[in-house]
Amino acid sequence: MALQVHKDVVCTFCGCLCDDLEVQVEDNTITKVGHVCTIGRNKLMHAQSDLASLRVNGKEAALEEAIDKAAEILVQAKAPLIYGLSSTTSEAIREAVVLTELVQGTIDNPSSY
Amino acid sequence: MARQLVGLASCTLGEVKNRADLLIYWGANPMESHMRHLSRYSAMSKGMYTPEGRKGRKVVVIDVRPTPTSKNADIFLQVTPGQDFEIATVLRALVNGVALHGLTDNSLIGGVPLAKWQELAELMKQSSYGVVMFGIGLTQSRGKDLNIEQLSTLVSELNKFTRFYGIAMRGHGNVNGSNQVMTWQTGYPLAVNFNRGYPWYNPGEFSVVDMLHRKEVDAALIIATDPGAHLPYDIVRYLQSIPTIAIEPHKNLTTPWANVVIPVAPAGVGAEGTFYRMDNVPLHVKKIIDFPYPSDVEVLRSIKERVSNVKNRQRAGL
Amino acid sequence: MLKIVNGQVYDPLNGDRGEVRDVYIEGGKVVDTLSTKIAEVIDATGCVVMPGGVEIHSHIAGAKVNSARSMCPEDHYDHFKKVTAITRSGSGFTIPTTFLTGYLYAQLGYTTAFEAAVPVLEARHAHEELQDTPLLDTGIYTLMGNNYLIMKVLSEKDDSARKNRLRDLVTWLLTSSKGYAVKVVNPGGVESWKWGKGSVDLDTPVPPFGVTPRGILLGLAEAIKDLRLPHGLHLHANHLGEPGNFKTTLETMYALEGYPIHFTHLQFHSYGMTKRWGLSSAASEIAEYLNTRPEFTYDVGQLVFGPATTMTSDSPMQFRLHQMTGNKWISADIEMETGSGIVPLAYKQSNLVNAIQWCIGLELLLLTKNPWQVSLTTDHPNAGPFTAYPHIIRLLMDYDFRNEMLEQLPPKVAQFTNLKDIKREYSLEEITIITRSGPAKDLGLKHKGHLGINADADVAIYRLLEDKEKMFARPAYVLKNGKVVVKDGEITQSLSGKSFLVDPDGSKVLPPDLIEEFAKYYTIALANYAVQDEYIIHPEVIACD
Ligand SMILES: [Zn+2]
Repeated sequence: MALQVHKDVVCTFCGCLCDDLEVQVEDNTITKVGHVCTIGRNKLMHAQSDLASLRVNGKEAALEEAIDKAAEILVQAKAPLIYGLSSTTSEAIREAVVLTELVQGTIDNPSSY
Repeated sequence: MARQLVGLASCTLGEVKNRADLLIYWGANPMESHMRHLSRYSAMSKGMYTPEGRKGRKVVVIDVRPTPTSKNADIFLQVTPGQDFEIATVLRALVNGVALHGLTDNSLIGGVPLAKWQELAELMKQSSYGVVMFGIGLTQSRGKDLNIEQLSTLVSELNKFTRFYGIAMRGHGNVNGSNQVMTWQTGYPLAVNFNRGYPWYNPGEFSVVDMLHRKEVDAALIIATDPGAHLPYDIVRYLQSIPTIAIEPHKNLTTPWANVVIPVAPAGVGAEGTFYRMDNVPLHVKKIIDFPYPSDVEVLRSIKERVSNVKNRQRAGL
Repeated sequence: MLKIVNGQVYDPLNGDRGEVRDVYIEGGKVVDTLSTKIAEVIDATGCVVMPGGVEIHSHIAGAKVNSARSMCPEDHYDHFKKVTAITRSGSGFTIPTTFLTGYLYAQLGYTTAFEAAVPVLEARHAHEELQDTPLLDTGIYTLMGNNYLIMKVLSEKDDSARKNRLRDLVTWLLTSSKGYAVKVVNPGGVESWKWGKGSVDLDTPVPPFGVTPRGILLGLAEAIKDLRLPHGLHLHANHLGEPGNFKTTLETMYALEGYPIHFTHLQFHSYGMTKRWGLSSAASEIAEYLNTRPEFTYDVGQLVFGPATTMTSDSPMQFRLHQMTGNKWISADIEMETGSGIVPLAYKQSNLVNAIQWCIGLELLLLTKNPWQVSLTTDHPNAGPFTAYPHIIRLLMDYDFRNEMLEQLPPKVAQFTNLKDIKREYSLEEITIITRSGPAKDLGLKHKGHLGINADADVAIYRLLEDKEKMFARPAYVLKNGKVVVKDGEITQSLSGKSFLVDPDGSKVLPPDLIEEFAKYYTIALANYAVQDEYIIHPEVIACD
């Protein structure tokens, strides 16, 4: 069994971004987390459970189909809203802004309320 | 956004750790919301000029109810809700030596006698590096912008006497990053509309709550956030009535009803990238394990390509 | 493959002063002949052909710039750019968004720009923004003048150990930040501010080690010289903006004689003092001295009337400015490294102090005999936006126009400045030097700032007009990396530029005692400190030789 310990891992769950976590991984599964608060440990230990599943209108679908559908929704909308972005990377946020510009929508994040 | 009216004097968390001899948590309860904040960065941390850690610092908590954070404070000022603006105003007057006519030591400001605020004002002026950390108690209460504006002004004025700073205790991991990216790409940290082809900013008009409340949105793309859990009920109901796409690693209160759900690898676990700490320090988060899903960067890029293909075809057809 | 024909070529490095000759371009470089006959031809009849502009000191990316954008939506409301099929949208006048910054520079014929002040701890942010700044080759200057580890090493007694360790530390800070040059801002003064102490002079001991600004400067200047960095010490001296500060500036210059130093935004450091503690020009004292010191270069930081956003790592100075103006203020102390401050301002013709500052910058430019020593800047956006360059160029090239402007200022400026008496007009060759060839040389960029064989094919082509402001405001063509990116002042394609890095011959790791200090006092792990390679898309390492 491949066991790896990742050191100095950044905890992404609150604005503190503690970056001294030790995360033990066995066979692509997180088995132990050190130097972490209860919330962070919970989030990391459960990162691989309760995953969302790909759905289009409530039905299982393939990724390409879902992406097509998402694009279709955004193209057809007159006033689309792009919202959230509080727990993702700035690289993703950069893509979200250019997408909003493209569909002439509105973009907002949770700091507005 | 109060920052746009008066600015804010601030510092990174390492300065808090290394230098701060006075810490004020105002409407913030890091013991429960930012659990390692106190030990890593603030009250209990030991830094360069704070070798005694907690013993060498004065810790003040201002909140509407006792919290685990307030139990460990040297001074706890339990205030009546919704009075933050008045409190900051009185503190400003006390710090600047402005006479408060008609008030005595026993007069209650925010439910706390003036004498206590006088004591705090003195503490602030006598500290050599004071930091006020304000949380959702202040940023999400009535008159939030005015509260923060007044507090920022207080912090700014204290710099005539000593070093004094404020730090917003940002909640979600990279909500600061979304403010940062939106600002460098559009000029504004939030609530930006592209209807006119250029960034158009109006927080009262284009904030998620206002737009959904007025039903001015006819589709939504939700990324790495759970409006089903965070937003008011009437707004969520409206979201449920329009086509909604959720890009989200885990099942949450939005995924059951979103029209399109695209699961992605969670940032910092299954995907790498940049996050901005509450004090603006950027960190690179790693990919630790493989997920059966793409990253949200990849998904957003694919959607973008599809959309621009359609737009190009539409343009060509015209 | 492309050739530019019939243009009057200005290439001071190679001796071209308006000679009509053709310029051949292939593979992003200037070449002597084209390998095939099929070439795109740009007819530059009636035009001057220059190397692309090189910006040596500007605040365009990173934490401080972005905080300013966020604080000042009023800077953006009326200044916006719509999205097009080629370009992204954007907003901002003195603090434009990243994409807009790239476009605006390109639309002036600038193809290279350096971000002037980045703390290592926040360098990742600057590089992220530069990825979103198109059409420019870029680099960043790394702040070291108030760095705790630097001061600690400088406090060591043993001469040769100290020097060795300092060279290694400078190398490590530069490579960790993926920086290009060493920047010093108000040496020791920012640390002093954090202690609640006053401003510092060259020999004021600075806590916690008692190192002096003189010690910081000499130590870093020597390390930079020994490491043979392509650009010298980039110095924002003590006492910026204070009446009488020219004495500190001169003392600093005396102290650093013999070292390669770039004095930045020198306008802000060339102030005399009147009997009533007011401002007067000391530009002639500074320029006369510089005329005897060829190892020193400077950029001017020319003041532009209108809105500005002051932003520096000089937090005590920014606080003073906030106190003086009552304008809004952001400050940010950065652990272990530096501080920073932001105050928006408007410079007014009717304001005597602003009028004197305006004169001082022009006096410096006009009194400096050797144009290779000076670069045109507005210390964007501190003294004004870089978009004012065409206007400043006209002020330099046109004595009558300059006097017209001077006459609109309060008459009292004549008592405190000498601008009226300076008749010099810059030539096109001299303008070429202070906007591209000089800064490129100062930066040690051997393939920039000229159009000789193997130079980068960054070219600006301007229609020759009597009104030099109009001429430089709207290039006929701009080529970036051999591709036409601007035609008739409009962007025709967008592309991403290179990032300039250095790889000095010093240690790339911290010694054990400093690793311990790092672990104790920083709030991030050492492993997470250095900027990862993925933040640089097109790196180009400039040799230290
Ligand atoms: Zn500058």
